Amino acid sequence: MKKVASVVLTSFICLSVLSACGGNKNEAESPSASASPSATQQASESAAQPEAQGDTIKLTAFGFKAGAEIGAMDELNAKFEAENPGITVEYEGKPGAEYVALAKTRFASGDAADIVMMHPGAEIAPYAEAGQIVDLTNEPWASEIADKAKEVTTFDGKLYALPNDMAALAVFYNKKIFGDLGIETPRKWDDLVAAAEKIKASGVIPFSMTNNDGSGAKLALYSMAPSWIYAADQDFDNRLNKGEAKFNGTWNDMLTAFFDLDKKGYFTPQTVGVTYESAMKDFQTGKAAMMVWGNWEYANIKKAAPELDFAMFNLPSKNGDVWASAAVGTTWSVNAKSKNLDAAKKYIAFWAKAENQEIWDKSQSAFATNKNAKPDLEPGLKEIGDAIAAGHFWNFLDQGWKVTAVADKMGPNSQGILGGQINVEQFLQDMDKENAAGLSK
Amino acid sequence: MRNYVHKLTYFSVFLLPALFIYITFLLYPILSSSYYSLTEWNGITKPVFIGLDNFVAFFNDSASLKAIKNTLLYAFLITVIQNVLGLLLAVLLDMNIRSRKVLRMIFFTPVILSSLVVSYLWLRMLDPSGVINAVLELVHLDGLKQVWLGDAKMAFMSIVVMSVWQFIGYSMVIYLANLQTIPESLKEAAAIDGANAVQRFFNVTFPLLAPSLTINLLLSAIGSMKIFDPIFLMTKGGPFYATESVTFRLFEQGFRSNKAGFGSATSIVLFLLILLISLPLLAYLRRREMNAQ
Repeated sequence: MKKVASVVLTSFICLSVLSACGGNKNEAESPSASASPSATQQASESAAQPEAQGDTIKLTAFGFKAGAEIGAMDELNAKFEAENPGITVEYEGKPGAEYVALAKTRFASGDAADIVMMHPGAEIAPYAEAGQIVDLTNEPWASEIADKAKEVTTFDGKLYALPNDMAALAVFYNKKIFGDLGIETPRKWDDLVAAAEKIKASGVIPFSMTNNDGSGAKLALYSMAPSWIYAADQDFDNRLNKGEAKFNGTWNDMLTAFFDLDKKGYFTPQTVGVTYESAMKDFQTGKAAMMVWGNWEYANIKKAAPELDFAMFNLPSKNGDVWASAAVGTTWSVNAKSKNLDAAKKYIAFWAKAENQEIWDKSQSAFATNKNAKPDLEPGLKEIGDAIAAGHFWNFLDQGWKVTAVADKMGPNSQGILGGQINVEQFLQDMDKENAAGLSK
Repeated sequence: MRNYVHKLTYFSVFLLPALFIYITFLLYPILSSSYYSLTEWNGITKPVFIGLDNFVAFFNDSASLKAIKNTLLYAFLITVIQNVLGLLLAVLLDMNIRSRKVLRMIFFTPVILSSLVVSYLWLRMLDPSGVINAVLELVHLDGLKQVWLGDAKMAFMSIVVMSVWQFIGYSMVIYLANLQTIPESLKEAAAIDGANAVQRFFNVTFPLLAPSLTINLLLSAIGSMKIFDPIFLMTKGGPFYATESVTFRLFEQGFRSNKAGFGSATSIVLFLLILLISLPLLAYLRRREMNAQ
């Protein structure tokens, strides 16, 4: 009998040791078996669980800014710690598209950090709906943030995240090539086509374009839509989300104009096989004169190609509307299950301050959301900055769409057109179909 | 008897930790994803039970059906090519050639590399301005230059070739191990009877390789039906869905597009597909093994 008792006791000790190592009491709630790749991540994060040790509060922050894009994160965290003795901040950055899935898994397993970075728009909605992030509507800083920026972090009339910065999608262009050929930045689409023709004739690729995953065409369409669609019709998204508007019939001109550029040979040859790295290299080495991409790469290009003289312009429409494609890039939300809610809110308030936002925005070559912040931006970003200041900009497309999966269709379908498998009408019909299917749920 | 039961309880306690891990990390997720496959769920809010709607949607979705077709084609091509070439390599490296140890190591190296490394390596090589096209140009075969990942068929074949390249060493090693168990005397006896090298291989060696053939075919068939990494890293399923596999679609739908319920249903379909193919294959190969002995 004694033996049995000791055996049972031992096994309990074994079990308790195990569960202590695991630390993920809610692990079992993770969405599916296929989520297992993140198991190691969770284990590594569990070491950084918020724990009040004595007088110091350890805040954890999780975000998608890492590596070359991390900017002033460390600097700001050090500044926060200096201003708030007794609170330390531990930031963990995981770059890339997988961040979204990872953050979701951590929330599901009860393992999310105190402060979580979110992409604005539809990504925030389900967390807000499930009560997993804190309502920040009544925070004192909220009134300082521009309304158009708050729109994309608001759900059901409540503010759920602080927008830190605005990023823009536009055209990087090589000023030297433009100058040598006597080309001005285009104010109308036809100017752009004429410029591309001139560049091509001089033996330079007009547009460096990656499409091995369709992202080059997708981002180009993102940056065309504000001028082509939304400058004239700002109600389009409202009607789209109610199922009253369709892409097919309204977006055809824009898509045709864009894919005509490929037909005329203005893109990197065989763009469907070209990787981002190789497209970016072509632009940096002057083999190509333009590249549509996000302004967050501005600092990186400057670092990689210090000799390159470049700036950015917005893509114009046929009628001469020149709107920027600008959207909130990073936002901070507070985990509702955080044990350090007050400290977390303090941290967010710190980020909302104009002076801190200036530091962050400068490091990201990004535009400010705090109305009082004046980040010291690169002169090459002036045109975009002016358009934003004048209110001539529109969000990144998927941020205004209820069915975000529609945007996922744009990359592969662009490949379909570039490869000759489908036409513009089929491209748009497919988006309409996805939208209708998403809305019917 | 009492003593026996006593001992059994005693030892079975030692199984508890393993059982605990097995249940928490395998059984529970599997069962819960079968439940989620019957729900409409975005992965964050509460799942809503919708019966078999996800499965109906799956089989009405042309992209999903294309993914199944692609997956079967991947599995077939990779399994056949990898095993034929793997066996050939094993036979060659079983011969008495001087550098065989070094060569075995070289062919096995890709297996121990991470898929991430291998995929990026091939991504760079397959770029239109990458090393493969450069070499073709160098030897004046410009006509063979391709946008490897930009063309539907070429992208598909590139992924097949890359997978075979990566795992051929694995098949080779298993065949090699089996080859070394075959007694020389059998081959010698056949030689004395007048059989040439080819006849000796097909009539003596190959039948005796039955056990390794079974395990190799099964491993590569199951493994290639779960193909994900190279697609994710090299083509993102493109161009225009040409290289999408079931696992890739599962990931895209379940995590990217926030359709965790649909993603779970996809995983159940894949599970059944693998079961449906591997069980008869196993039964057949086992019977074949018996006959060979």
